[in-house]
Amino acid sequence: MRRRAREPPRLRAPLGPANPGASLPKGEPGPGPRFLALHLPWLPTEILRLPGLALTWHMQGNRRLVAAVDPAALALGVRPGQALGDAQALAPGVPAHPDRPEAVAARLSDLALWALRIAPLAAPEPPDGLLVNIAGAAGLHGGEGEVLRRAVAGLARLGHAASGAVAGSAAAAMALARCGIPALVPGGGEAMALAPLPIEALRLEAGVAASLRRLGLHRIGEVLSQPRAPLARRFGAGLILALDRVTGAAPAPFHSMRPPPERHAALDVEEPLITRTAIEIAAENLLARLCARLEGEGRGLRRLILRAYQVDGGVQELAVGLGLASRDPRHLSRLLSPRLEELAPGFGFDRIALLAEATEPLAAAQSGLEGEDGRAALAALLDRVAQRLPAWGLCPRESHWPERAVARADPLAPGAVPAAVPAGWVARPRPLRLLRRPERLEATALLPDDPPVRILWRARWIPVRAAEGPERLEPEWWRDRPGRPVRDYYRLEMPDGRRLWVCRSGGPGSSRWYLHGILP
Amino acid sequence: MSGFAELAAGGRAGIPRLVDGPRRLCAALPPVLRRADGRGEGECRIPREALVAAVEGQVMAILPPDAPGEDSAHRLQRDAEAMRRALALPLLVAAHHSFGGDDRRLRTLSAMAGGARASLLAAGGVRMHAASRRRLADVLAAIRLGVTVDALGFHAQANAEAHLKGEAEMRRLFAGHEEAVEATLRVAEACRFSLRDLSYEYPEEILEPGLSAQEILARRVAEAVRER
Repeated sequence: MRRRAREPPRLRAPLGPANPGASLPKGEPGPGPRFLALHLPWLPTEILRLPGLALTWHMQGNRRLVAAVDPAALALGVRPGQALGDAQALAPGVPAHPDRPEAVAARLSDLALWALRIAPLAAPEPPDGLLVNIAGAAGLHGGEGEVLRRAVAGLARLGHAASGAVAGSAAAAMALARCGIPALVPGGGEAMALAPLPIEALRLEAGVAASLRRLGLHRIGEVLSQPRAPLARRFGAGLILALDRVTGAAPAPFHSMRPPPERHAALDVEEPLITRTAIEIAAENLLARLCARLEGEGRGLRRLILRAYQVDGGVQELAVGLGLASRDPRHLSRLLSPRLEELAPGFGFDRIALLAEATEPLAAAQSGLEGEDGRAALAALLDRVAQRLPAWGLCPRESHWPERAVARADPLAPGAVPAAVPAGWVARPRPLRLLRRPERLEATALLPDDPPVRILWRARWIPVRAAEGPERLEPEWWRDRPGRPVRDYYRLEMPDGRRLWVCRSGGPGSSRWYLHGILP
Repeated sequence: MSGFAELAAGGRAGIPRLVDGPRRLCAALPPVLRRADGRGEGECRIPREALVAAVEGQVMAILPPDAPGEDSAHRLQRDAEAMRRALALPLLVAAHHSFGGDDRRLRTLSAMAGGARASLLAAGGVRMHAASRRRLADVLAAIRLGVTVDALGFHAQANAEAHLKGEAEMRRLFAGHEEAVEATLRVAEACRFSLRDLSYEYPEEILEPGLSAQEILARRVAEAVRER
């Protein structure tokens, strides 16, 4: 079962080491939700990847307005919301591009996947933010300050200027990041840290911030010190909830981009991996580590994901599903390696991670004599086939209707194939396979429900040497659409010895003949 | 000879249908019936030998299995031999055209009957009076088996042909085996029945040995009075 991404109690539970509080240096906050927020103010112009000035514009009615600017244009006095003509007068020759919000959102999702390398729970915060739940992960990176520094530096390497902050609630961290204050707020200190910030940092509903300003409340601290009841009466419960979420008094749901994997192994490399061989070696290395850990825990993989992080911020994923839980690195690498060609390295991968998304208890089995373990061998073969083609088993089903005489079944599910074929299942002669599309025939019969004496098949009239029938089948009224025609099946022997299974659809007298199969 | 019971190849007796024949048949069978642990009428299993011994003056037909083989041919021969003297008509082999695509079955049965000096009987394999009652037949089968209609599988009717058919239709279906239809007509002819044939019959009383009905009643009343 996939673990759900949104699981508020987990956020409070420590991840990673059993008691991260004990391993943290003095003065660091203890366990509890910890959020790293990253704000990318120039994202819309950065994705254009232009040197120097840049701006984007969008249409409002029939006017072209500036949507976003870069720092250089801002320095010249260009502001979002200006008419495009005014902006071009202020900054002559500035390259103006149409605004593409969907490209910005896509880049933001990519960056959220990139942020999964910091901690296993990360999410984009549209329009221009990233949130990472780093509870318990800070100790692994050498403290929260180090996490923040590395995240900002990493984004800078990808070409994005960012500011970040860490706090006990997502909203507080995000507000600090938007104001460009790289603060590390200990749990419970959010209200004090936010007090001097302008209320716009909270991203309240349109109009609320302006109304608060008219009342003379300019800073978050001033709003927080107001009595709650009049505030709620005047601005609704939305403002109170937003304030509670900022201070951490009310929990806020956090939707991670990907569910946290049950186990994972990752490899960071200095020199980006570009060649197939290099990626394969990295994957095998990781598989061996992952399988060794799974073996220690007595679990086997059902679903494996390989996540490859590109140097320029993109992330590619491959998923491999298994019929039976396994932790055999050789088997897994045979499943994974043909899929590796789907990766497009571009400038190379600087991090490869293997995630065990679904695992099952798998007891270590005593290996038997050669050839005894047929089920596991079949499962391994099916896994390899199923990577390329859909694979299923057929099991007999009690039904008179020919198309329903067999049912698809999961080839490995226990009990899918009954031990015995139901009595009377092959009592009547049937073709081994029914034709996927029955071929239309013409036929001549002497009496309405007599077998045909000759048929027109593939543009040739062929006399029938011998015939048997009819076998009359009525549709299964409890399952079929009403009005489905009756079928009369005949077995025909042709002069060349071929035996055909033909059917007259619509009962005696009908002239709709079909070839439904070739009898063995 | 005014009635007949069906003798299935497995030795299970159908319910005797008419008045006189069944009465005589039952009279010949009581020791058997008392031994049978009848949980319901259909569950009574009468041993083959007992039935064969009790067919004096009856008309009997055998219901052959779906796929008659060597085995059932031998058994038919044995039964026909054992009952030849006693039966009013030669032993009959009931055959029906089930629209199952098995033309050969009729020929096989005909040959089997010929080999055992029995004759073919054109039966209908009837489950319903009209083709439109197929759904009802399926629902009843589901109730009988205690499953949903969806799970009936091969117990569902494959087609709606198991209904009563007229003489002309039967003659068409049994083309080439006209003697089977003739045999059916003869049996039907023999099965004359009228409600007037029935009259009230006082049942046999269950008596304790050596006492009359009146004495038993008096004794039981006396016992009951003492208890009060």
